Amino acid sequence: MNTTTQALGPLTPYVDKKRYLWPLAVFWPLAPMVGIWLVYQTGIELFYAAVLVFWYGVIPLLDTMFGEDTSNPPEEAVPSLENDRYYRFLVYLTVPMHYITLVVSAWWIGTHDISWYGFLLLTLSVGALNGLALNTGHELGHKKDRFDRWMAKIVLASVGYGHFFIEHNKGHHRDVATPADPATSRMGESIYTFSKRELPGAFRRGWDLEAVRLERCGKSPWSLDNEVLQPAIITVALYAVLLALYGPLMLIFLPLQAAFAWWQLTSANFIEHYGLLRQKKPDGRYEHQTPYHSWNSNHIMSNLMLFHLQRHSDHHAHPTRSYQSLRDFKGLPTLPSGYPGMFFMALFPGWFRSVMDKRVVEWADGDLDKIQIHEGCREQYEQQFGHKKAA
Amino acid sequence: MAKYQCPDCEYIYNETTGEPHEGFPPSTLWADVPDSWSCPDCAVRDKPDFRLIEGSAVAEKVVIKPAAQPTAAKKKIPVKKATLGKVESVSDDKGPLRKWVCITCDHIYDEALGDEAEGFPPGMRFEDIPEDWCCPDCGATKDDYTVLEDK
Repeated sequence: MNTTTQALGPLTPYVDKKRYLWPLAVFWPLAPMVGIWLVYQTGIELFYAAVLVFWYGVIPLLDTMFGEDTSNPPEEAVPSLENDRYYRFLVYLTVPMHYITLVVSAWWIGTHDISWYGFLLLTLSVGALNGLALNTGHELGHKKDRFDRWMAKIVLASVGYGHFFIEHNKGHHRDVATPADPATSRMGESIYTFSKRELPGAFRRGWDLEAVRLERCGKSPWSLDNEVLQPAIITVALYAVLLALYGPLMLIFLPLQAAFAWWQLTSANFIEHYGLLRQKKPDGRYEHQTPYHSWNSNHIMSNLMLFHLQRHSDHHAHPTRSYQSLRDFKGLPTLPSGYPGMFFMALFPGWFRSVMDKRVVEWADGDLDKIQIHEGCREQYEQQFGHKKAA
Repeated sequence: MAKYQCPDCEYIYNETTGEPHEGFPPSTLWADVPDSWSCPDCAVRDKPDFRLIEGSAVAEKVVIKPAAQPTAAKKKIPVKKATLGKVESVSDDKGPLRKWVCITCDHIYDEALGDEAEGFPPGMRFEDIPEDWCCPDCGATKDDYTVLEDK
């Protein structure tokens, strides 16, 4: 190694420009407490909504302002990046943040006078940010260490979505961009229709995959080795303690914040592969997952808050790569904004389709047969885009 | 006992140790792992994508004979014994030619064969390919190729 370095002259070592910006993703989940503090200082309960305004409004603006970062670490720097414990430590540190936000908010609601709308805004704020517990669990769940995988289960338990660890890694990644995947949205499908397919479909697939594995191991699906049940037990215990400590309002607070956290995941699944389709090969198997089967975003601001989740193309092609090593590629299907902006847009199906449908068609070179189209929308698309079969 | 590796995430299935967490006890033969089984670490490659990296591929399966034949309901029958063919290596005065693999899609550039469609004659070295060339299958850059080691 050293001899080649000498022969080529001194090489500038790779410096990761984002290295000291990643703590943003660690501490951002604490933001609902800023809202609580503002209300405490001013008595104006609208401040509970600060997080929601920031998430759906300010970050998309910052994404537009700061733009995209398409830089990649050189391949020779990747092994040292992957082995640099600093990056992994940041993700570990994010795990307790989600618990702090949940417990402090529960304490605040259980011990202070709060109006109905203040309660609603705070609950949704906690849900929006603990939706990122799924992002944290996602990064950890893809790692090969036992410890990391347990941390994933623990953080996912804070929002009661422990089955994600199985369903996403072994189900969604295997089936992505095929009609078999409940977590890939189809062109023309609204997020509301999609959620009715995605939420139950994901749970069923996670459970079934675990049942098959346990059967091979000669165990019952109700065994404690079931990795869907393990985090579910943590959730039940955690929520029971919060209920005992902070009273009956928890019966609304806990399910509502969890539901809104799940909605964040549904939003992510909705935009990540919208309309994309892998082709079947002559042997009946689907072509491999390449970077071209995910919508990518290089928006710097939201990527820093999401541990590079938006570099989704490389992630799906190489799921075990760590966030700090994920790359951009040329000619990828690209989202016009980062995730928070796209999540907001997705809430308005007409707006979302007017922005995204033409991008999907462009991705498929105008061949509607290469796109996953929502049932009943085909005819309308044929009129809108014409039906051109690729040569 | 052989070892098989996932070409994407480098997970190794070792027949000696099996993968008990996945329900394959030690000494479960690769042939007895179902074809639909996905890599337990990355799930983006399935059993047929795995590469033999050590030992030889022994296709031994427990075959259950049809009930019509009354003798020996279960019997271990060696179906076939095969080793993976070695890839041809060609040498010239600059030393042995190598193969390069795209880490994104596994496309292989074989220096011995060149790539007619890309306009690279047989024997063209990877280093002589223009820097702005992209993987013909997935569009990854030249930097995304690594040397494919032949054993």
